[in-house]
Amino acid sequence: MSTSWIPGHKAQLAILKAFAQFIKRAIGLFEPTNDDEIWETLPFEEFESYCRKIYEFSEGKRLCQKDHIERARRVMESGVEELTLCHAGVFNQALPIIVDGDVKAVLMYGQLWAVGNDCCAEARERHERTIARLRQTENDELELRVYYDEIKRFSANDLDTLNQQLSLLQHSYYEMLSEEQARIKQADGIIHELQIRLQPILAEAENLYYDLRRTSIECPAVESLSPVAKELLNSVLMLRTLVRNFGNFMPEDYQFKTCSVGGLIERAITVYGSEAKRKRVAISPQLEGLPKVELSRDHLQEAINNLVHNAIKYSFSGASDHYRYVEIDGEVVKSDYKLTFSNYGVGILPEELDRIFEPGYKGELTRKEYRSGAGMGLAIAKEIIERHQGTIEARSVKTDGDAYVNTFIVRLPLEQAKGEKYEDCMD
Amino acid sequence: MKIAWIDDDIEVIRSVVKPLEQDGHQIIPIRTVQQALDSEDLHTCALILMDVILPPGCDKDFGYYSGTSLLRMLREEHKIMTPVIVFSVTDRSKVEERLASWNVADYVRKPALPSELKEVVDAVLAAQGNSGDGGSPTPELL
Repeated sequence: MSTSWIPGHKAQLAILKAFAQFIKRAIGLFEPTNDDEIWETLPFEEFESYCRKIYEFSEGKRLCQKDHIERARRVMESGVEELTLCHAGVFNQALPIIVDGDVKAVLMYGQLWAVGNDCCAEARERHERTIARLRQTENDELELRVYYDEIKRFSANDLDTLNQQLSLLQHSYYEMLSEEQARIKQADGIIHELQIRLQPILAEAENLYYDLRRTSIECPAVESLSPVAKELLNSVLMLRTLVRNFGNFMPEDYQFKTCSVGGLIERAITVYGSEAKRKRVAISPQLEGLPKVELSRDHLQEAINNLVHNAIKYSFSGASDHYRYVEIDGEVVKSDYKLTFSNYGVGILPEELDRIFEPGYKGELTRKEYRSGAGMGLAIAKEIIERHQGTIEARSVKTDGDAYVNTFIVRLPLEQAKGEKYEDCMD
Repeated sequence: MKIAWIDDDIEVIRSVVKPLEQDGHQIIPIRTVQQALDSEDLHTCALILMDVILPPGCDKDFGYYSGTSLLRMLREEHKIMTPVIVFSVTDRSKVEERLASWNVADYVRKPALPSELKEVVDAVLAAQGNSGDGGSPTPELL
């Protein structure tokens, strides 16, 4: 069964399953995206006995699948509904689902006998040929004959009614899908345009910042512009993150290359530097060695961004006379690079330490303190780190008053293991 | 070093290569597929930066991503083996498979910081044994 389209098609799956159960027929769907596979809803045990028997023979199963695909492709091309015989003398229905003139899919159901159909004689001939081809024992032949006569009967009216109902269902689904796809395309277009327009702003902001830092001109105007330029750059970087996240920036494929972890930490600090400054939180990276690690840069950047942002967000604010610290330590430990993110602030209760990596989960103390966010950052970070064959763990130790020292420890292998899992990541 | 930059938006986003120019690299702008095919500079430059979405737009082989067709022609027909960095707003997963046969050194997604682009360019040039002339220090933390 093709998996490429299942996410997001759960409603369709549920409806078709219910329909299959109601009419007790196997329903299959052929879409351009699932090419050589026909997707079926009824469990095999509920197939017609005749069809189940044929499937016992590998040749029989192969002929059935070949038959279905050929029928589906034919109807995909012609756009014309077909009630045809399979190789074994069973009737099958194929309905094109047409939206805006395009055949979106072919819906098929069958394993039936069409009462009074012109092809009934030919059906019996095919049945006889099937027996001759597949039978290995007398019992096989007996079962095939008995089961064939037990195939459920449908009149022409029955079939018309079913076809109308199924077509309506599928047509509505694909119309809705088309509208959704049009909206996504429009949103994609806007994101695309935003990213293009953001490029000169981002470039000019960084260039201005570094030009002001490097200038030898000393005057009040330059001095007052420097923090403004830094703020501008940070804001534009935040905007880039927002635009990318909105556009589901994260590519599906992990692309592993040897890169410096230090660069990723630097960028995360750059992005959230303004927020840290506002809270009077100083970020103190102590990265030893800074080895090159085999990582998927864009993905791990996202994970590190989330960890740094969390550390800042849940840190208590400093005061005018003293700063709070977020510490980021890195060191090589055997064959791993160990990163530690620590802060002093809102804690995590002991019983929640495993749960905080669940999507959407926000700790009890976090809720009490209220910090904005969807509770997804740590779940995403964990998934990304695990895709790097790494680990992440959390610790939270109560100190004085309501304060906790929170520590997130990430271990990343310096090299990806060249096993099956590695190849999965490289797809 | 000479760096050829193939992009139809160069005038708008020129500032992204400022650190590279400060490092002494000469940026050669090329704005269309045809200009790229006619350019002598592609034979002598140390690196090519290119977008995959280029005029004239739709390509019969690669649809929207006519830059991928250009890269194929540069490699196969013009025998240009200069390292290429794809610098585009397009997500790399959408084009990487198409480009897999033609030796792309790296991808940088727009919008990129000038320092991000410089880091990747420096790395690719270093790997080729072509460092920049002098080179500005790695950007400090803000």
